Amino acid sequence: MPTFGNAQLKLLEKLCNAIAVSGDEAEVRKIVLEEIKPYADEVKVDALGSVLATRIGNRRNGKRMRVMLDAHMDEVGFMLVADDGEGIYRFESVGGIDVRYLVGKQVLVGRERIPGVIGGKPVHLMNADERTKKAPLDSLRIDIGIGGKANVGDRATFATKFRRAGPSILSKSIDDRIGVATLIDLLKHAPPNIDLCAAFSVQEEIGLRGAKVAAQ
Amino acid sequence: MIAAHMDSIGLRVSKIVDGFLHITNVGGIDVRVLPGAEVTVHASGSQEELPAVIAKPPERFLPESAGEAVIGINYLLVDTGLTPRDVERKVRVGDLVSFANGPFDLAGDVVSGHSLDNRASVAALTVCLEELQAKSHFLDVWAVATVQEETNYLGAYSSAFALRPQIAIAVDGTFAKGPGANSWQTIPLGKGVGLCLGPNMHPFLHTKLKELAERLEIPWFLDVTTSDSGTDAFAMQVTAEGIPTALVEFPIRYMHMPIESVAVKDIQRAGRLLAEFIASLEADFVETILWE
Repeated sequence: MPTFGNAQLKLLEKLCNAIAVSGDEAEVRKIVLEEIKPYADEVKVDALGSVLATRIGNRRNGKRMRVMLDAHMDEVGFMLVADDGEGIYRFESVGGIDVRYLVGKQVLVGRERIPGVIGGKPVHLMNADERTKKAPLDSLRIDIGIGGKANVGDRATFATKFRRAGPSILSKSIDDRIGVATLIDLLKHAPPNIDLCAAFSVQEEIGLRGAKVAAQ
Repeated sequence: MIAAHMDSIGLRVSKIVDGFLHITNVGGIDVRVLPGAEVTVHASGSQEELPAVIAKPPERFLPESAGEAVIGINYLLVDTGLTPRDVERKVRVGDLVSFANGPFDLAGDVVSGHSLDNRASVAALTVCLEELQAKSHFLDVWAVATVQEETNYLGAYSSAFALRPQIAIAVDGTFAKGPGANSWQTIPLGKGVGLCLGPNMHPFLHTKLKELAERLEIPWFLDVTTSDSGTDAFAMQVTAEGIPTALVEFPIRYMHMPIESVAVKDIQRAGRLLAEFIASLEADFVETILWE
C-alpha cells in the first residue's frame, strides 16, 4: 500500500525546491524520470514536455482497465520581459498570482538561479493615494543587483525553501508537487488489476494545456 | 558620539484566534510586503522560534473594496502550521514576529535582506573603529548601537544624555534610486555616501564633512531634509543642552521591505569618512564650531 512517510516527504522536499515555471519544467521532469524509470514499463516525453508513464498490470486473466492519473509538474512564476538596464528587469506573471504577494519577495532567476528581489517604490515616497492601493504589476521590477546580467525570457520564481512546521509544510509549489509525489508513489505501488497511465503534465498553470494532449 | 541604531521594524502578536495570530506593527511597517512573507514567531510560552508565514485570508473575509486596495494589517493572519492547541500553549499575545528570509548576495556587491536599515550602519561603525585603530585622534570616541530608533529614537536620547558628547554623528540609510524611486529624495546606489543638510544638522559639521570627502575623493551626494531627518540625529540634537549634530548616510533600495538592498562599497565609504573625520579633529575643534 502506498503511504506518505519519511521517504515520500524527502521526495516532496526535493520536488518543491526544484524550479519548474510553466514551459520550463526540466528540473522536475528530471526528478520524475529518475524516480519512475525502475517501475514503469513504458516512459515517454511528449511534444510539450509532459512525462507519460505506463505500468502494465500483472493480472494475466481477465480484462485490465486502463486508468490515467495526472499531476502537473509546472508551477506559477515570472518571466523577464524587458531589460531596464543596470540589473533591473520588467517581468510578467506566468500563471495566476495575486499581485499583492509580489512586492518585497526574494526570487531566483533563470536556470542559473541568479538571486534577485521584487522591488518597488518605498512607502515613504508614496503619496496618500498610492499608499491605499495595491502596487500594480507594471510598477514592480526584478532587481538582480548593480550590473547583474540575466536574459529577457528567463523564468523566475519565489526563492522560498521547503520548511516543516509542526504537522504542516510551508513551501512554494506544493500545488502540485504533492500531486507529483503522490503519483510517483502510486506508480511504484500500482494495483495489479489495472494498467496505470501516469501523466506528469506541463503548462497546467497557464490553461491545462499539457493534460489536454497527454490524454490523447 | 557616533550612533547607528540596531533595532529594526517588525511585528507583534495582538490576538490569537483559532490558532491563527493577528498582528500589529512595531515601527513603520510597509503592510504591502506582508502577504506571503516568511516570518519567525518568537514564542515566549515555549521559548521557541516558530517558522510561519503571513497569510491573506480568503476574499470573502475581506471588505469588498479590497480587490484594489492594500490589505490592512488587521486582516492579515500569521499561520504557524501548528494546531490551535499547540499555538495556545506556545505563543502569547505580545510576542514578537520578525522577517525570516535570509540575506541575498546580489550582483555588484549588493547585499539584500531585512533589517539592513540599520544593521548596515552598525557595520559602518565597525569599519570606522577598525580604521581608527591605525590613526591618532585627540577626541574620545563613543560608538553607540542604539535601540528603539524605529519607534521614537528613544535609545539615541538616553545614550546621548548619558555620554554628553560634544559632537554627535548619526549613521543611517537614505533612499536609493531604483524602481519607483527617482525623485529629489533619492541618491544613486553604490556611487557614494549621502551628507544630510537641514535644520536637523549643524551646518558647520556638514561643511567639514563635505570638504573632507572632497579631499579624500570619497564620492558624496547632498541629501536635504526640511525638518526631522527620521534618524537618531533628530534625538541627539536636542539632548541635554543641545549637541551639534551631523548625519552620514548611505543609499538603501526598498526601504522597510524585507529586501532592503545596500552596496557594500557605500558602507565602507561611510565608515572610512567617519574615521578620517574623527582623526582630522584638533583638540580645540569644538571651540571652532561657529554659526557665522
